[in-house]
Amino acid sequence: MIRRQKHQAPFWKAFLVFMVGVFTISYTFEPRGIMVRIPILPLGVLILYLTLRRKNGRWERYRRFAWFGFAGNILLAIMALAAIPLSSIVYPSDDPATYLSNPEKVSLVQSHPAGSDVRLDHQKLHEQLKGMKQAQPDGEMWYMESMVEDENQSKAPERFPYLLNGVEPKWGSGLSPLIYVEGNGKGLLILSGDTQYYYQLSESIIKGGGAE
Amino acid sequence: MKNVKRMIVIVLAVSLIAFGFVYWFKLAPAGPLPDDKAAAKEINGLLNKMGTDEGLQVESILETVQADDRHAFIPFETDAGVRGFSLWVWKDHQWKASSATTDGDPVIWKVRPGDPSSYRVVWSLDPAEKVDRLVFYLIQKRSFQNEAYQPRIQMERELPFAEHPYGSIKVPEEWRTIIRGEVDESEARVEFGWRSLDSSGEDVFIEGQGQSSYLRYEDHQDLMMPLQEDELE
Repeated sequence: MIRRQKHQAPFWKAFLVFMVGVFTISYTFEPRGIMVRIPILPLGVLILYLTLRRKNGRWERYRRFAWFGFAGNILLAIMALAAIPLSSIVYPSDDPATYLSNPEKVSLVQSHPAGSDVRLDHQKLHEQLKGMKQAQPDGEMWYMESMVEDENQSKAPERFPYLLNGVEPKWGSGLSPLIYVEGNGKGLLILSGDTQYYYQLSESIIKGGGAE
Repeated sequence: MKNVKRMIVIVLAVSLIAFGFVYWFKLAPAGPLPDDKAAAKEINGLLNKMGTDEGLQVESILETVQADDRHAFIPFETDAGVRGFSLWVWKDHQWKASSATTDGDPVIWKVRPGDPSSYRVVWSLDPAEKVDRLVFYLIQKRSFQNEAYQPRIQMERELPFAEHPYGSIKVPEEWRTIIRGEVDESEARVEFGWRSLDSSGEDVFIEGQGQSSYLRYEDHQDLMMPLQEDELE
């Protein structure tokens, strides 16, 4: 009876050791919005070793539970790392459908007086969403043309005077994009976090006002 | 056995009293707003506690507008003819003025902070001014940062001043998408502004009496910047 107790650690003690073993000093980084912790120093295991080794045989009995705790961290890190390529498959960052999953539900809001009273052409948006051409955004030029005035050229009106209202990104992506529509209805500027994507359309997605 | 029974009774009684307290002070539905006299008394107390506006008295309560079941907007006029407003909250089972001011310039009142559908523009200005209309603005400045272009946003909401020298309106629906898109409130991209125009569309500066007084500033407010024509596109 006594011998058995010596060899079989009670569950709650093993669990406690496991929980302490989970403590690690780890390197944390967040590629593509997924948090990855790479465990570096098994701090919990170290503490357990220092406290448990004082009594003979105790460390030997519990060390596997301590290492299980540490291994849990590694398992989580591997899973997070595996999720990165998966996330770019499920939420490709350059696919407009990642940012706009509900094109039939959105509406158009005039966000600048350079726009006019127009409506969104849902059908045109829907038809072209798949085949939109990604183009090089020329932010510096857009900024300059609307801000700087010189002798032979006056300031241009805002290039993107509309916003899509009610945009839902792909479920689970955790994004909160803002989608601007170019004045001629043939360009979408998607701003998500620090990145921007610019898409050009062959047909205007707005109707009414002076756009036609 | 007797002890156990007594224990149960005591535990039940204590939890009943605790629940009663929580219900009464936190959950119970709000009571009716104070009448004009009681509201004026509370506002007077607030305004004069500051010491700067000694002797300021509320002459009349202009209206009471309930923003939701626990928040209200009460504009008033003082005996010196100055317009102002107070914001009220139902807290600890009583209506309290959470702020009062005799400078009635428009501000954004975040009734429930973080929930843009509760945000309101509140104001109470001197109706004698030669103002034809008020215009409220939502502005986001154009920028080019981190290789990304941020278009300018400039949206407006206009109101005839004669009918609305004071008021509390919900932030327009179209504005909310943009306010909601704010990632971090500490580095807000969005600004609010306002203008007062005469009938020919020129800026009119509302002078007011210049007295302002705030106290018990418990509610969340965002300043609205007075704008001029050359700041707009």
